[in-house]
Amino acid sequence: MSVGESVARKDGPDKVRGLTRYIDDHNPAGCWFGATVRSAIPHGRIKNISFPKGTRWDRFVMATAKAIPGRNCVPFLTEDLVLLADGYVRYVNEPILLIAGPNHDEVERAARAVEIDYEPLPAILTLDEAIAAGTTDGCQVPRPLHIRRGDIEEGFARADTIVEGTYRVGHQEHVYLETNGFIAWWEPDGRVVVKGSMQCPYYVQRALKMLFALPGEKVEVIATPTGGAFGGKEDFPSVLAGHAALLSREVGRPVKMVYNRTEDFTSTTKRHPARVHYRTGVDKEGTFTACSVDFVLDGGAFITMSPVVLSRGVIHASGPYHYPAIEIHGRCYATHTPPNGAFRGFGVPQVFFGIERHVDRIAARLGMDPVEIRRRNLLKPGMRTATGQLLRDGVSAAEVLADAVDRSGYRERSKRPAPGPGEPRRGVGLALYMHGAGFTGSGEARMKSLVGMRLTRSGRVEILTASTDMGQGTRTVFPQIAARAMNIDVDQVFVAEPDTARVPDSGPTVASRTVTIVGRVVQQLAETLARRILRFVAEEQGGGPDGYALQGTHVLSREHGTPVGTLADIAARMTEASGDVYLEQGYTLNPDIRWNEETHEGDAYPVYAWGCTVVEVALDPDTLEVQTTQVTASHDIGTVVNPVLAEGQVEGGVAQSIGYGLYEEVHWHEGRMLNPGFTNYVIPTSVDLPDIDAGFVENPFPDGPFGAKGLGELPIHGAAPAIANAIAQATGIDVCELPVTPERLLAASNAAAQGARDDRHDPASETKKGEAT
Amino acid sequence: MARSLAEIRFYTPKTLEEALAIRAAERSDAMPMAGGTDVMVWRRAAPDEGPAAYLSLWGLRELKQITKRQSCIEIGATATFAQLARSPLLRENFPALVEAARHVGAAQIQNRATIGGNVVNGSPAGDSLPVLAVAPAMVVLTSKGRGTRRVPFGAFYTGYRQTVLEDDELLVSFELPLPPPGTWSGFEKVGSRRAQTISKVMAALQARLDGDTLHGVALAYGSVAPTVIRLPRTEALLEGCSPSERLADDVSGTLNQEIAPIDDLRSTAAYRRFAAVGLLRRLLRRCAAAQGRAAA
Ligand SMILES: Cc1cc2nc3c(=O)[nH]c(=O)nc-3n(C[C@H](O)[C@H](O)[C@H](O)COP(=O)(O)OP(=O)(O)OC[C@H]3O[C@@H](n4cnc5c(N)ncnc54)[C@H](O)[C@@H]3O)c2cc1C
Repeated sequence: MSVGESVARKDGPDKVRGLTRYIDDHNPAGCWFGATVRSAIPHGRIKNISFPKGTRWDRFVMATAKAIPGRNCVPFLTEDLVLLADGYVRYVNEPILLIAGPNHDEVERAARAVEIDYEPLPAILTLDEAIAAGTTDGCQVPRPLHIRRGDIEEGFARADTIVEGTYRVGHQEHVYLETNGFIAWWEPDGRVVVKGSMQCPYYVQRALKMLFALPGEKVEVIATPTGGAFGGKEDFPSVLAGHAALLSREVGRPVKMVYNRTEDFTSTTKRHPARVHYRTGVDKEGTFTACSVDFVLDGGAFITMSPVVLSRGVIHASGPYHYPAIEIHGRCYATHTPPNGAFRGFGVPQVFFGIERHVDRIAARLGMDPVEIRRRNLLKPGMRTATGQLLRDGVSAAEVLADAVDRSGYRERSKRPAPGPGEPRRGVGLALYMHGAGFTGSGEARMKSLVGMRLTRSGRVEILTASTDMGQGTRTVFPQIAARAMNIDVDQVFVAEPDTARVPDSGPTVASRTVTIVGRVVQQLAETLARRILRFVAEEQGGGPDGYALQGTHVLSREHGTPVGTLADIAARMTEASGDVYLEQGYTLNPDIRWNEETHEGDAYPVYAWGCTVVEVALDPDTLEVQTTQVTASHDIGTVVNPVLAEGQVEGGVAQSIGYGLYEEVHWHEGRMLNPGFTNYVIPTSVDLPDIDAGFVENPFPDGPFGAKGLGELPIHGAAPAIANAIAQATGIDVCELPVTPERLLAASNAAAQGARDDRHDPASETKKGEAT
Repeated sequence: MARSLAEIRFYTPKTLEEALAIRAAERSDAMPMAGGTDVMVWRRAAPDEGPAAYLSLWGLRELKQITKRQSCIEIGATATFAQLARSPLLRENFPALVEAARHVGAAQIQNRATIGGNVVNGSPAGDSLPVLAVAPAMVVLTSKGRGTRRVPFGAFYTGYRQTVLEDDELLVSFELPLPPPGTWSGFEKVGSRRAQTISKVMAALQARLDGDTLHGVALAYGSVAPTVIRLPRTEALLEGCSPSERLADDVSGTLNQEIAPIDDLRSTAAYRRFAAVGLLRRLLRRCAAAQGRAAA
């Protein structure tokens, strides 16, 4: 019974003892180091690249776009991203030239010595500028998306009150512990091998195939143990692998490129800044009658992942609520800033800040309780979502809301007596949310994730997938699933190193899909393998396969309950008899799932996971500093495969969301990040975090492994909007932008005071449907 | 031109005399380094501009002591903030300095960072500076050629990160006059989070409580001007008043005339002004509570 138990992480002991070898711990013989010369301006033409005296340039090897043997393109959903700028730059720090040498510090110094002359062009640097301009020179954007259901005009006409609001969020940096890094080399047979920190080995392989015009079998990608990723190693590693491989090809030796923190901050992807506008009609009882949503994203200078970030945001923009009529419009603009990319939540934290803050503002407007208004409008089985998806079972919005409200003492906490002088003002807020697991629509049907499973000669079970372990626990939970399916000890099962030369393409390690999608195939393969073993035993020992069962490390006779042999002995005989015992299988998406990509109608996800986070804050009246004092979370992720790891995901997600809500902000000047380090990019430390009570509601998903849904992204949705709601409750300040820094709170409260003064002179008459923010 | 670490000379004198000799010979070619918590950060930020040599003061035992003298407490320049935070002498006489020490970085930084480094670095956000300003400390400087001189803390800075320290001198200690009986001191800081944070504003208050009124008031702020500053006009307003949090709001007009904060990466001028009053409120509230305890 290993599913549901907190099996210790398989990678734990080596990490604790410092034995785990991350990419920077690898130093192949004769390895050179690579560095990157980057654009100093946000937009313009490169006039000249020069190599001033004072550096022994002959001791270095360089590469520009001209050296790329295939196409100068790192493909994602589109093929616009270039590996190296070729005469034209679109953002500050865009890579232009690569340089390699035998000594790390000397290479870095040489890279700094290269001089580039530009002809600057006008740059678009913020979302607001991009919206005003309409288009951004030299950049493409994904197509806009629209969702429409029901009769919008009728819905708004029926409303007793209409509430509008605009909500804004900026960039967020992933802040994985291990920065991006790769080592690349070329084998004498013309194969390129790259090794590094990543989420998606087959994405990297695809990019290298295009860059070097090579077939898949000539490109080997190996994922080393990855020290955190959060989406930041979904897309970007394809770029860095391309750089290292190109330099290695020029040098004829292995080349290592590991970013320092500054370069990682300034030059890799971040969460998309966004602006989302909600207009909601609501009747006297607090039931939503209609909603109109306008969601805009800043994609940065290249498209990369933006179409799917936009799509996910649009699909989730209605929140966990039902509307008789809804329209959602999503657009992504380009700016001359580094491309924004995948980040845990993938477009959804942006809209949940909007919708969950908005629902509280509607409640305040109606004088309703925030729990009650949610209860009245939340999605239930039998209802349809904004995309028209009919929700069957596994809908737990009501359960997680009730659970989080009860366990947190939300009611008592919202009725605290007024603070004394100098005492902190307390507020409590909540957010309700969901997350669709796996790829959108029929994505999983197209992906057909392949998984391999081998019974080794010594009776151990090897799981072969391209799903990496970036700290979230793949290497532990896959064996738990297989062990449960086979009824064997979890120690008998292990996960192969993700190496494209050995493992099949189980898809990228993204979209909360690893357990629920890839894990499902692991379960099915394990069941098949168990049957095969028992058939073999039956053939050997007589009787039918049903007469035998696996248990622990043995095969038992069911009749006598006694062992007939160890798995090790039986595996040895099986391999002798029939060679390598290896199975491979792909994922089959439930055929009932229907999705229209064009209209964004239908079953957007195979299943949703649900969550509710309650946050209590204490606000210091002297400094407006906000401290989170208690977090209670409730999540329905179906069956919890490993409780300790699941709690870890929740605690980490909550911490990252507290960062998003209160601290994390990227400062820019003329397209350049001003705070690329931990001094001024502020993330919460352990003393800034409260107790986090991570509870689960288990509402199993029939198509997931033993009922498991997806978890990775879900817990990042709640804390930030809940904090904003708690602060609004404590102060009456209408918080509409993250992070809620004391500076922003002060400005908002001064503006409100100013507004109140103005109102006294000009009393605007309240109309039935008049409110704008 | 940049140097790799192997090309950098690193002096590790064992006595002050030895250190002063190297200092006199190398002048600005060898940068003094105490805990290195600022120096190493600069080196990484601008690897091409670092000095050719470092003069480590870490091994100089004689600069690490915290000692009680006749009329002052002497704090060695390379005493670490961890040492300061633990010192019974300081806890008794300068609790504000203990509080400031506990606010520097976090445990690892406090184990390395020295008070002398904090002062010579001269950042207006240096947490020990407002406390030294209200003590008020005497800064003791020594050179091989010219011997020792004492500079009042208020005269040590000549501008933004500019000090009177000469390139043959080392800062050896601070002398903090023993406060008269009944003296209360406190430190307050607001940063971007609870630990490992550079101050947006910080303040130190020292005053003698005579009955229920404040006397000999000294009030200093950091991060609100190019250097740490004393607020003489606000001090004068507080003189003779009974401490209360309302008092902070009463003097806020003058306080705001005396500070000149700016907008930067870490905060805004408007917020710094707001928080400066808030910190004084906190200090006066704490002071009033201490006075209440003393009276009870
Ligand atoms: C992570 C981190 C967090 C930090 N947090 C804080 C904080 O919260 N508050 C704060 O105030 N500071 C903070 N700092 C800055 C730093 O730790 C302090 O300024 C510290 O006091 C510097 O002391 P040091 O001994 O390390 O100085 P060093 O780096 O050794 O030297 C700093 C400067 O002083 C000179 N110098 C040092 N000693 C002498 C001497 N005896 N005579 C002459 N010149 C000398 C050096 O030449 C150099 O110019 C932080 C730094 C880091 C890296």
